[in-house]
Amino acid sequence: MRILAVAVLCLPFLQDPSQEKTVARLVEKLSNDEIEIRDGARRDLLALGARALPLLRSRAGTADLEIRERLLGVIREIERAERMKFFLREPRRIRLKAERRPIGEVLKELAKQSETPVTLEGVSPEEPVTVDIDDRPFFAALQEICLAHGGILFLLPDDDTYALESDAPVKLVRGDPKACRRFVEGPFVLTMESLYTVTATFGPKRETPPTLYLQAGWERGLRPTRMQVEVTSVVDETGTEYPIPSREGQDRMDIYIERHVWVPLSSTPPPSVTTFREIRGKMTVEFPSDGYVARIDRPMGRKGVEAEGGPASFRLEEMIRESPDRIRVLVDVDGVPNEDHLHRTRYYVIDSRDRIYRHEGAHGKGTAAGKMRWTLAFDVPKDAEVKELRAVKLTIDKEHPTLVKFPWKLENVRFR
Amino acid sequence: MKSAALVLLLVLQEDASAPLKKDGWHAVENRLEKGDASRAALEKAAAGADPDAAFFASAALGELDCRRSGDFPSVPRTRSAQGDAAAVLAGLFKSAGLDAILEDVPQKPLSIPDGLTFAEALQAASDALAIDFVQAENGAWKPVRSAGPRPRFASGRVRASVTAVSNGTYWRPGLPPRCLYWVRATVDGFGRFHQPPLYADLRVLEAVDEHGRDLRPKRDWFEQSVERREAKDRERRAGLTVDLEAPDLKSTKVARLRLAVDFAFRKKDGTISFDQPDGATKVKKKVGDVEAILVRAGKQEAGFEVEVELKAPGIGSRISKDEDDFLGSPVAHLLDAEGKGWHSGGSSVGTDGRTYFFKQDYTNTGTAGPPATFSLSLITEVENRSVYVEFRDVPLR
Repeated sequence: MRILAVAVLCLPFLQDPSQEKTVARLVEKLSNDEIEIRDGARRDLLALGARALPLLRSRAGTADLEIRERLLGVIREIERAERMKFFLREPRRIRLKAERRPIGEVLKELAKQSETPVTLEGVSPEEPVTVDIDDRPFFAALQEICLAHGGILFLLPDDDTYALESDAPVKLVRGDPKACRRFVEGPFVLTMESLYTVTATFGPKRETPPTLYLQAGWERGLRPTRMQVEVTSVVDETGTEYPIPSREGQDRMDIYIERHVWVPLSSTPPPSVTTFREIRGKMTVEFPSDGYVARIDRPMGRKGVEAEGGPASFRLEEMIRESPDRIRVLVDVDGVPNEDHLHRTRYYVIDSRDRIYRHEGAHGKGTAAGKMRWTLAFDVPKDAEVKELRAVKLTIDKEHPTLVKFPWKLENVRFR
Repeated sequence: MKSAALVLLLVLQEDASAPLKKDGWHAVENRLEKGDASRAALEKAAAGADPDAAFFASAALGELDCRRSGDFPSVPRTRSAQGDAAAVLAGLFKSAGLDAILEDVPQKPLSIPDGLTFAEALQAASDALAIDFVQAENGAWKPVRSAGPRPRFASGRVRASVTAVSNGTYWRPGLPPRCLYWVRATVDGFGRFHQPPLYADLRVLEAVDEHGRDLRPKRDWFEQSVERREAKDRERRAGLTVDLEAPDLKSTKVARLRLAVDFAFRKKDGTISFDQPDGATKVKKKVGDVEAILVRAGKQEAGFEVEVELKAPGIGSRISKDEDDFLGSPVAHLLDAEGKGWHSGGSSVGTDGRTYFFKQDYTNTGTAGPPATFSLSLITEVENRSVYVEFRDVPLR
């Protein structure tokens, strides 16, 4: 036991000697007179990532003022990047081979390689499918499974506004997967969900333009704060282009994730038109500029427990089931009564099946101890066993947002 | 002897189902002429397995309820009349005791046969003259140009017409389209209720297409609605929107659309009180048809907080509101044992139609003692009157 304790205490110092030399060399360059050399050293130190943090902290403690300031900047940047992994992580790559295997088994294999839940709806898990997927993003793999089956397609979850997290599954349902191939870019996916038309059979005519509904999705574990989809052109099978009325941008008021995007078209495709030859646009997904997370495991019935997580830290004062399907939580946080909407803390309950519940209501009051006490209500099914209470404190820098941007294109979308 | 009497009673008890199913609205009128004597047979038919007989029996019972409460007198029948349209219509409105402005009635001859109710006679006149009748803001009826042929309904005192049908289709790549329809209609003829309704609920009893498929939406968000009317408004016409959904594009009409509009009226005002609220949780009470739950009450920092949940049909329209409060907060009091009140602070309310959530903070201004009673004023009982309407062959496409 004593040996283990000594080993644990010394762990930060037990570094790879070659890495130690690398860090020493790069730290020395931080004081170089040439800015290019200093910037190059900073970039290389950042590339070393979290594993270099113990060495960097140690060096910062002994370095002179100028180097210490630069080192602390590097440390802060690496720590922020580590926090950001909670929001934006690398996409999963899927490798999957099946020769007439039941689709239920294929999906189980897929689940082992991805956190994103997939369910079958109206499709027997015994139906056979043959696929050979080699190093493909999750949604591209799912599309290949659908195309290989021939009679199913996947539907993206469409819930969750004002939420960072979702446990809603992707659904596989009966349909023609060739009617609209989804666009996949890394962990993101985009599809045309529907074209909505309104007509009056009789009575007053209403001017309702046809509307193109697009839907976006992303792998579970990505936690964006906003999504914007721009449509730049819509062309049908006859070559007719449908002008898109300009839409003015809206001021940002809050974190608002809506996975649907609706785009009014200037005219309705005639009944003879069944297919859009091409729909093009750009997609931008915003992530927090920074985010802290604090957690308490097995929180039900516990009192006076601290959850550490920088500005997301909180103290759990009460967590009870006040009715069969509602949980009430009291948390104390360091008091800032008027939090900016964009920088507020979000609370989540997570159950043993990894289902995520966001708080439905929040009521805050100042306490005598100068803290804020929040009363939070969560609608949680009575059979759900609570595994975790989580707080996520976001920072969104409107001037320097963290953005992922890419162009997209859907081809030969058969909607009629 | 006793069993013989029972057999005799069973034989004598009238079976209303068969004629209601066969003759529909005419059978309803026949039953109504017998008044409350036909109630037992109608109740039996309304609870029976045959949906047609049950619908017509329910309609007759709804009308009987209106007459019993004095809201509706029995419906007079026309005697045949013919002559200049304006003169015939003036007689018709006069016999019904209604004001009318008939200057714009076309100068045409008009003939009204014997034995129609006011609504049916007005419908016959509308068809013959290609006009519609609407109620002006002062309650008087006046003619307007007909909007053209459309599904209509007239029986007894109730007259209704479909004013618009629109459809929204979601064309979904790889999946069948989703076909939504909205049928808008107006219903009038119930303008003799003694007081304006508190609220109205619309029930879509049947909506089947020409293939016999049920078009009532399976989703849980409905747009079924009835326009609200202000108390000062003499017009009692209701605008309805019926939300339907077809499984595909094969539905071209609603073969039968049967509706019930349930008007609720204030019957009894009351107060719901909870004694010794401090520390109370989930205390339930039933007053009238309102179920009240004191979810939680207790000290909160320097003040006192009360959280209440109320459950009843149309509950959002039944809470007494503080007229001095520009937010219209509910009238609720937190009193000490001597009846001194705590001062109400911030509140939050919410409703989903059948449940009303209310949370109120109180502060002690210094003179009141510990809370002894929490009370809330509201309408604790309502009375419902139902009006039944049926449309046939409503075109969808």
